[in-house]
Amino acid sequence: MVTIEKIAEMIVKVSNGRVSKEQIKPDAQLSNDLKLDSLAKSELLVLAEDEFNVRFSTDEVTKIKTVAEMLALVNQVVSAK
Amino acid sequence: MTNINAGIIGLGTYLPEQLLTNQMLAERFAVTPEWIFERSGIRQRHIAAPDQACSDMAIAAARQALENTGTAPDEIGMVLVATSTGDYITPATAPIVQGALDIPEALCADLSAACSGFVYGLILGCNAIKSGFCKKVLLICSEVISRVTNPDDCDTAILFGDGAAAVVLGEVPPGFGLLATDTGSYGTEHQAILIPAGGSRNPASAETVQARQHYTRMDGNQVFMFAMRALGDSAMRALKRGAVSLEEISLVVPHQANRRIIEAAARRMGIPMEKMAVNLETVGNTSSASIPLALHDALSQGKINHGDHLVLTGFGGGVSWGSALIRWHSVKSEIS
Repeated sequence: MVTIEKIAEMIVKVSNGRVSKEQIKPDAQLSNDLKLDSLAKSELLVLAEDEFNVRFSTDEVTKIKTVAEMLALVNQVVSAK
Repeated sequence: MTNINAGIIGLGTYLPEQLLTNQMLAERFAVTPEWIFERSGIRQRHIAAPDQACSDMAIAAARQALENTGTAPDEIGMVLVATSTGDYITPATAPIVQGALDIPEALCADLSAACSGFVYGLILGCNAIKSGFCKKVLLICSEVISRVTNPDDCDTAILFGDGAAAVVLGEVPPGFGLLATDTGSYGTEHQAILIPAGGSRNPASAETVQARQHYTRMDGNQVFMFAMRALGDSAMRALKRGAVSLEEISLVVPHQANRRIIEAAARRMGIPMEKMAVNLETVGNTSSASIPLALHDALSQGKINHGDHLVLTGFGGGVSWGSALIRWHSVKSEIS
């Protein structure tokens, strides 16, 4: 089971330190609250691919809106392995 | 194969005078210049004059490369032009360059591998020398990407610029030149970067022109995800094959697609940005010409010394990727 702390670590990394772990709540919007644009969200998915040895569709970049949705997506894909 | 070692012995470049700045694009797309810079790392691009074609820029860069290396036209046995924006569908641009430079006898051909074109040309050219096929190769990357960029498409118009760079490939001492490579393609993803019309699949017609199908279409997120995976991973595989560690690398010269991709690749490789050659701020993404233009800038700034290990790594349409591990052999005037 992937935890929100693990997702938070990756968000901090792709934000180049602009986002702190404290800002990363489940209902935080990746675009509006954490200011991650589509390129940063793409990098987040690629980081998660490496971390959990899974593969995401490009469509997910536009589908995931919140931290909770990202966490749910990762857990769904990881558990389907 | 012989025991000949082959590598780059000199470079030449050409950038058109006209500039397309973020300020100009910001007005067109109702964004700020800073928004464009944050998204791409680019502040300006060079744009070819209306009467300039691919071969015009290729010839200018090639002349400079021949002069810098003191190479006579009759020493060149192969002319490769890596481009996606040649003068014509046929003939190739390479014989036009050969004719203009009075190169008497040479295999002349174009190489269509989009942004991977320089690395692929380097591999083919060096292997032609190593095999004994010829003594010197003129490899030119020349792109007039502005002709196939939709001026109303913000996703691509902010990225691409025109430019050319040429290298002369020749014999270098043992332990120098091209040491190891990594190449590949995912052809099932070929629609990620595509000019839909103008080829045999969808020939030019009034309808294709009206539908603006002669411009480059790019799935930005797909390309970004592919590029992040490909750039760092391919460079690392080339290093492994050459038995050279990341710590021994003086500079990585990546395809200048977008600063964000280069930063992501650096994070993925675990290498500081100081070791990534970046010049797209002033030239944008010039497709096949981007790696040799960045290499030229790094040489001009004294960032490359004799004996340095470099990784040149590109990715692009196809989708394709290629990396070349080289050890730099300095000659007295490799650039002007």
